[in-house]
This record gives sequence, structure tokens and C-alpha cells, in this order.
Amino acid sequence: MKESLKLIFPAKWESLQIAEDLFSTISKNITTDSRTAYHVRTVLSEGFSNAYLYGNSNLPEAIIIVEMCFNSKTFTANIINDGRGFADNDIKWNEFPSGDNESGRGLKIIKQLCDKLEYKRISEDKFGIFIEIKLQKEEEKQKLI
Amino acid sequence: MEIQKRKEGDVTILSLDGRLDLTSASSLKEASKDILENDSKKMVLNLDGVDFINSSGLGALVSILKEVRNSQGSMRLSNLAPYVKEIFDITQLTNIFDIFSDEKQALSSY
Repeated sequence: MKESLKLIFPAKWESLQIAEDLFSTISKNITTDSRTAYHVRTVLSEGFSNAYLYGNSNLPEAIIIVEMCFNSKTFTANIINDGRGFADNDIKWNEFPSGDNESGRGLKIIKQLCDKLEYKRISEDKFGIFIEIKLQKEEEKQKLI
Repeated sequence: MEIQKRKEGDVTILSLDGRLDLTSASSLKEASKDILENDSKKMVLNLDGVDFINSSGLGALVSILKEVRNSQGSMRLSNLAPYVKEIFDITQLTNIFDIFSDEKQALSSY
């Protein structure tokens, strides 16, 4: 059975803490595997922070939408924000910033933790990232042993 | 996130509790800056109470490390929870920071 959840946040500083609290609770409730739950929480946190920092948060009506869907096997999320987003060639996915750089790690962390990551411009002023994480990795590994 | 400060000899220890993310990054940077300016040039950040860190939190730690080095100081991290350590591994920041499994070892390294 699939569960789904759609959250809409104003793209404001005050939303960050609320979102982080929700991601913490949601991730613990979708899987019993603590490491996978941590990955889900991290991916949601990074996607949301990225949307807040690099989307058009300066627009008074800017929002960030987080749509989640999960069953026992798979968790998917769409994080959509106002803004033009990024292009694939903007990001060197396999290179992490050096120790001098304070930023530039968020999207790459998502890429490392997800089983699938897609991103696209939804409209002229809306951009989204789409992620998928398999929830049954540990059980599948056990079955193979 | 809560930050508690204490001293052991000439080393200042910051014990962090909570999540280290965009909302708590600036308070940690402020606390560290205050230590460097008024306290000591040797720091240990004990992350035993940190149950979550994201790239903003990592950025704050990188920023602090840069300030520490510019001040001719030194900094250690200790007590990283396994999943927090995993994020350091993924981002290759284990190569940048001096990380110890517990506070005692971090202090002994000075």
C-alpha cells in the first residue's frame, strides 16, 4: 500500500526548522532501517535547504513544495521551488569541494545517497528535483547471504 | 542546537547537542569566533550530541576551521555518531578535519 504526503512551505527562514522537524519524524516512520531513515532525512534536508538557498526565496509569494510517496520498498520525493534551477553541466557530480569551500556539497550528497536523482525545469519559473531511495536494501542483502 | 563551553587547560571544548544545519550554523560560527578572539586557539568540538548534520553544518565547520587556521590555532572534532561520520566520509571531509573517536583522545593529541 502506498502512502503519500504533500507539504507546501513558504520559502522563508521560519520554514527551515519546521521542515527539518517534519523530515526527522517522517523518515523514522517510513522504514525500520535506521541508516536508510537517516539517508531519507538527509536527502530531504539537503533538497529543501538547496531550494531555500538557491530558489527565488526573495519573492514574497515563493513556496517550496515537498511531495513524498512511499511503500515498504521505495521512497520517492519531489522537491519543487520557484526559480530557474541548475543545468547538468553546472555540477561536477563526482567531485566534492576542497576543504576551503564552505558550500557546494548539498546536491552531491543527495546524488550519493539516492538510488535515482532527476532534475528538471518544470516551467519558466519552477524547478524540481526528483529522488528515489530503495527502502529494502538491508533486507535484500540478507536474502542474498 | 545547544552549545556548552568549558576549558581543559588551554583547550576550549564545545559540546554540541542537536542538529547542525542551516538554522544552527551561524550560532556555532559565532561561538567559535568568540573563543578564538577571547579564549584560546585550541578547540575541540565534541559532536556526541549531534544527531544530524547536513551540508550547511559541514560548511559551518569548514568556515570555523579556516578561521582557526588563520588565527594560527588548531581544532579537533570528536565523538561523531556513525551516520554523521558517514556524511564526512561521503564528502571526503575526513581528509580535512582531525577527527577522534572520543574527547579524551582529541585532548591528548594536543
